[in-house]
Formats: sequence, structure tokens, C-alpha cells
Amino acid sequence: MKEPSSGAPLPDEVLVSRARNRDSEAMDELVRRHHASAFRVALGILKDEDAAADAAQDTFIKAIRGLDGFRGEASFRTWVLRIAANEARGFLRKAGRRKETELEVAGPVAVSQETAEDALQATQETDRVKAMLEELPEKQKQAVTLRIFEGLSFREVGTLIGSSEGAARVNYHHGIRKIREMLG
Amino acid sequence: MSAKDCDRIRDVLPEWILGTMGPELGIEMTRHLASCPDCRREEEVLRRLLSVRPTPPEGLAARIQARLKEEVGTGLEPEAPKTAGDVIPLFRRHRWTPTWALSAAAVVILSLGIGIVWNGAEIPEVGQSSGQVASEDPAPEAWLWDDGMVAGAPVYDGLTDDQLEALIEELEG
Repeated sequence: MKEPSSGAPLPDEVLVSRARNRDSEAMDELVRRHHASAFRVALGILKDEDAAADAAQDTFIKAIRGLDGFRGEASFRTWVLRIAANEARGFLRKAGRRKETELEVAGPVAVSQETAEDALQATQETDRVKAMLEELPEKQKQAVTLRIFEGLSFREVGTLIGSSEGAARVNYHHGIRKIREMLG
Repeated sequence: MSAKDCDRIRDVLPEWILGTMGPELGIEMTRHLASCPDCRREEEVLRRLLSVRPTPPEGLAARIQARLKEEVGTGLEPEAPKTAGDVIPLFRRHRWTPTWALSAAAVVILSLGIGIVWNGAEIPEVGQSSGQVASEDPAPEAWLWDDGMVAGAPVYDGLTDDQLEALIEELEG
């Protein structure tokens, strides 16, 4: 959705304001901009594409319904991603799956859980990099993926992983250093 | 080129590889990477990481948008009634009704009715002052229906204990 006069994309704040008044075009645009990030955040927790897609759907239903509670202290994207993470954790609880802390200890889960078909399609290099990511401690992995996959600032990463901006930066750089060492 | 320069560059490498960096910083980045093999190595690592970024299933955005329209709706749907003149749901009115008050009123009426019958009720005639009671007046038939009910309750005062017991047994089947 673009500003009619300038052609520049409308900022999220404007879309959020319109979505509060049930402007369906504004809602659609917010979904288009942020659904992929919401999906990836959920996938990072759930390790299952179908469940992550369901969690992303529920995320936007809750976000749009709860827009009146969005005070704009963080960006809309950060707010939505926090909802996505909470939704994914809720899915985990409901499904009675292993908790995130267990996943942290368990190591490279994503690679081993991939279907045979996916594994065949994936290149050896991709599998290797994914496995390396999964070997990182949870906070480092989250800091690296949120920073590189989503382009979040260190402050936004900190908000999402429950740490300060400085701690988010340290987690990110430690994670990258370990990946560099693993890649050789 | 100092280690501090490298730290600053590596902080913003994600913006560089994602293409979201402003032009001014972009020029500085290009220069730095051209002269710093270690940062170039880090850039390569970041690009390899970015290459494994998961993509959402096809049609996910459309599915979410459709569900939003279905569950949240749009501005076209009618607003819920908000004015004072609108119909108030029944349960809300009931919520404000003190049920104990109704029960108390029923007990009072029943007691009054039974008391009047038992004591040879003395109903003041219209026009009498409240302090004057005509003790010689007959029992007020108006309070006693043909089916032996006074103010909604059966009158058993004429029965002996045995008759009452028999009646109770009969009623209980």
C-alpha cells in the first residue's frame, strides 16, 4: 500500500492506525509485510512448517484484534513477532512437546526432523549451515537469526529475546564467531 | 583501519547483505570491505547464513488475509449497539434483580395471608383509619380460593396430625 501522492510505501504506523478502523487494505498490507517474519520466528521455536504457519495465522488474528492494546512503544513488527513467539510457545505447550530449554540441549533438531524429501532437495551446504545454527545456544541462535533473517536492530532483538540491547549484541557476535569457527 | 572500525562495520553487516543500508553508509562499507579481508570473510559467512533463511509456504499471506476478513471483519460490518436506547440483553437486566427481595416479598405476603386466616383476619374496610379494626367482621373470603389456597399456599389448618400425615403420604405417592 502506497501513499497516493508520493508513491512511497506507507509506514506501519499509518497502516496500524487505519487497521484500527477495520480498513481491510491496511490489514492486508500489514500481513503482506510481516507474515514471513512471523512464520520464521514461529518456525524457530516449533521446528514444524505446518504448525508455524498455523501460529502465524493466529498471530495476526490476535494482533489485529488487539490493536487497541498496541501503544506503539515498540515497532509494530517487533510487537507482532513477540506475539508470534508467544503463539509458538503456546502451540508447544498445547502439543505437549518438548520445551524450548530441552531443544537447546538437544542440539541440531531441525536437520534431523526434516522429511526425507526435503533432505534430498536441500544441498549439503545448506544442511551444514542449518546444523551449525542449531548448535548455537538458544539466545545466540535467536540473536543471529533475528538479526540476519529479519534485519532487526539489536534493540529489537533484545526486546524479543528478553535481554538488553547490549546483551543482544554480545549474543549475536558470539554466535557469528562460533559459526565462523565451525565453517573453518 | 582500526579494530573499532571493524566492530562498527560488523554491527551493520546484516543491513548490508539485506540491502537495507542507507547510501552513505553503503559507500563506507564498500571501501572498508575492499581493504579488510577479515570483514569480507564475515560478510561471506553472513551471506551463507542468509541463504538458509526459511521461506513461508506459498499462499500463507492470502490464507491469513482471508481468515482476518472472516474472523475480524472490515469496516463494512454493522457496529454493535451502543446508545442507551438500544436493547439491553435480558441476562443483564436479570443480573440487577435482587432475587432475595422477591423471595422476601413472597414470604411476607404468604405470612400475612396465613396470619389473617388463622387469626380470624380483620380486614379494615375502605375508609377506615389504619388504627381501627372491626373485630366482629367475618373472615375475608376474598383471600380464600375454592381450591383451598391462600395467597398461593394450601390451607391445612383444619386437618388433624393423622390426616396431615395421610395427606403427605398420598402426595408423596
